[in-house]
Amino acid sequence: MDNKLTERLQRALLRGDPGAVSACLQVNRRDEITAIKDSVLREMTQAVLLRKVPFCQLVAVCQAAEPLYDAAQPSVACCGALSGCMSPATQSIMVMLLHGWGVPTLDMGLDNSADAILCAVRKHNLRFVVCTAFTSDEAASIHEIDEKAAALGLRPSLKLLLGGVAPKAVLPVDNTDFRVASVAQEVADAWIK
Amino acid sequence: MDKVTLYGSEHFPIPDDCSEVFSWLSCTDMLPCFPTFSAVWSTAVDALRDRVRPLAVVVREAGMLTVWITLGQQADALILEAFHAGDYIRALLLNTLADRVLFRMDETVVRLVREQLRAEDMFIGARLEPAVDFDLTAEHIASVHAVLPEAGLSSAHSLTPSKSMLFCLTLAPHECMTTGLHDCSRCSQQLCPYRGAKGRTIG
Repeated sequence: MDNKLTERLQRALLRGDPGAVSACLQVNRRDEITAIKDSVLREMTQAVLLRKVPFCQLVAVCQAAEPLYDAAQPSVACCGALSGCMSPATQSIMVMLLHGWGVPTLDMGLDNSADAILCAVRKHNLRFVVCTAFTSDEAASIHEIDEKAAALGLRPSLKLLLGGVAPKAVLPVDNTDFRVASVAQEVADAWIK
Repeated sequence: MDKVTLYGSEHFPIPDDCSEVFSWLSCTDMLPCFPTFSAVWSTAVDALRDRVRPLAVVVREAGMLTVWITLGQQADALILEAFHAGDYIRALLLNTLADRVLFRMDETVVRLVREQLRAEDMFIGARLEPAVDFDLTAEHIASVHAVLPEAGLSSAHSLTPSKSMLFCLTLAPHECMTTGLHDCSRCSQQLCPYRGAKGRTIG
């Protein structure tokens, strides 16, 4: 892949221009593009967390990067909204970001019990459980996953994260979009290592 | 005012104007993604108008009004469809537009209720919010559920469908100088992008 095309692709991803990204993809090999996408997501996530660009730009970047996601890879993470959480946006945005980082993710949708999540962990040998919740009451059920995972001996090999609402005991110093973006980066960094 | 009053979608038009939604998303024309967001906007509005039927139910019981506002299950379905298709910009716009419609419905219903109460020489007293003024239980929505079967509570006491709102209004025999609007100053989410939006008040 020549440098000019690399730069064009990088600019298209940073702009969040799905059409331009598709045009670059027509003439390029997937593995080279994947490497470029990683740095673009990192740059954009940092800009969002530092409030240099708004979250909508990150969404556009993720949409542009979606064709680069390899859905055929075996999952290493699952992402599901916690029990009682019926709000589609937070969980879907988390899946969107994980795809953007290229993390092979099992989308578990909404209203997941602890047993359903841990069943998926054992079946697919997952390393990451990313839960989402929209309210503090919904977030409380993450403790049940923690306890049951520990009882099953899964805890040492499992990274459990909560994206979305801040837990009640913590001051809401950031909003749900920021927590989702920072959790996605945390998963990606741990996976890449 | 009747025991149960329904306000249908004719009271809650879905707006064409994108400025408020774009403002909530901080999507300005300086951003590289602005043209794409603008291009998707009109199709998102059309989709919401086609599939979603805004509805408000007001139940009068024991000197209090229970107000349920909803966009219905189709709103959730529409947003999920867009996310699953990888059309994230459309999904984000649909989600934010749905919230805007909900807030405007809130404002409209409070105004309509005030007008109807005035005819009886009654006034809105206080607005009571779940999780702030009372813990939401199935009992609170039982009367609404009798009229609107899709109105429900999840196991974590969140409203279903998710694009719904519930609050109570007390009744008073005298003017209480209250707006009846949602008061964002009582919410812990200091950085919520909807804080102080039109139809909401801060203090």
